[in-house]
Amino acid sequence: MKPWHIWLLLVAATLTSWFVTEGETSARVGSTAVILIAAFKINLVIAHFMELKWQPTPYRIVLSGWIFLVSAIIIGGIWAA
Amino acid sequence: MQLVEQAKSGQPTRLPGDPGVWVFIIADMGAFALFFLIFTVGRIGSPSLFETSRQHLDVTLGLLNTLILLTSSLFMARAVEAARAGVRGAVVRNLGLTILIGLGFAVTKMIEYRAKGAAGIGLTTNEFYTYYFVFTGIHFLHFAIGIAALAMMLAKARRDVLDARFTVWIESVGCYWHMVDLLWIMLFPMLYLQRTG
Amino acid sequence: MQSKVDTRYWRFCAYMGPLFVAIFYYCWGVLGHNFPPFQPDAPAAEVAGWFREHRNGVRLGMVIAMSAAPLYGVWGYALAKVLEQSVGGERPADNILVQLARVGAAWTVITLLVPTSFWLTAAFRPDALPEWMIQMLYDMAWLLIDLAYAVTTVQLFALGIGFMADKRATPLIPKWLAWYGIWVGFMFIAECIMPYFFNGAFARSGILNFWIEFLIWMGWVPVLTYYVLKAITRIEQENAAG
Repeated sequence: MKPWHIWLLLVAATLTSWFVTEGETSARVGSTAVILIAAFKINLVIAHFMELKWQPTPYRIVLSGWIFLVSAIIIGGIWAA
Repeated sequence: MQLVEQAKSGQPTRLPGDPGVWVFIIADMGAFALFFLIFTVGRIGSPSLFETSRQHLDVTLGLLNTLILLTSSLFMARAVEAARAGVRGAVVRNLGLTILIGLGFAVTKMIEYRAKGAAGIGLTTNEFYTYYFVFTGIHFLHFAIGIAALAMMLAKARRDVLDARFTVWIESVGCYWHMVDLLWIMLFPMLYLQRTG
Repeated sequence: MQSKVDTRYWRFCAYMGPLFVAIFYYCWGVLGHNFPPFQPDAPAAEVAGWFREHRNGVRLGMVIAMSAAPLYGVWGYALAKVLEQSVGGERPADNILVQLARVGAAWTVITLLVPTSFWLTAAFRPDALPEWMIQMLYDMAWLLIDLAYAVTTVQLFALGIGFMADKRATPLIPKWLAWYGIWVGFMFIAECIMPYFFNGAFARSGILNFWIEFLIWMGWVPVLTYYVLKAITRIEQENAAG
């Protein structure tokens, strides 16, 4: 995929997350969805812009772990609050 | 197995840019992970304060900033591609667009900070705004350093030979710039979009 | 290529860094009740009471900490000698990065000496001083030691940039460590917000402005020392090879 294909996907995901928050869904479900979309976007940036395709290399494992950890922290907070 | 993957994607499995830059990027992302944890713990402690404060943030400006950084990142990726192909004109043009679009982030952020100041909201107003100003402020500092690094790359792209050394430079700056983008991708929903109640 | 490098005393000086961290941690940190510090919103009576009760411990701690402070500078000069070999060139000692790395280490000593003297003052005649004054001395010392971060950042940046300028196939100091040092120097900027907070993550006792900031710096010293000692061995081998 070309960089601008990725960009289109990223913009679409961003707008989706905005509609999700503006929509009628329950606050917790909506917020969780928004964070998951952000995690998906970050993964796209890492895989295609930073060019670390998913492969079990040390840096990629750390970055994937970071996405998982950060999303888990924030989503955990959404359900604990 | 890896060779098959490599052959399929047509790209080597190497790390783009200088490996040292990645140490900086990972360390920095670790610091932001801690920031997200600090914010989340605070939010669990006083959800209603965080919710009422959040409602005073300008979601449209936050959204605009997300789109600005994503677009700037796109031209950054294109500049790296052009550098590998050795096309100077395209490198200069794409880097110029990366900076120009990126600067929009500064404009939006200043409008936002000024509006907060005018509304009497500052660093010590409450816990939510403390995190808002500190985290977006530190992120803004990263942004400003990124713009300076990009300006330096633009100057290099005009005068230097576009060799392997230049590619490592532009990849390093590029990865840093994408990090500025991806940190904002998580900061934006965390600060602006998470609702309670 | 320059003539033989005289590496005598370098190792001894390099060991002074970890030694400094160990002494400073115990004398300034434990004996002085600075590791972690009193929260800024702790009542003056609590701080004053502690100084009155433990005056002799604080005196001992600060006297030794002040005596050990120059060790940081001695260590910094050993780093600068290795940095000269990293940057290379005709007269590496004149390289501005080497000079900044030296002066950054030397200035850091001052930022350690002056606040320790404030804590010592608080413990000197704590019965005669009102509680708020002991608190003030404690605050003053902390504001100085934290906000002097930029002095150490000069050393961290100069070392980081200089170590990266190494033209060897395997640099004397690994690049990741050079970058880590730059990151530490950069992270110190969080201290700028410390004067606004009396509790929480950004207060002088908080997770960010105390735990993270001090530990990333104190951890950097022994790690860099380990690699500097290895680099000295390599410089000697390069010498022997002519």
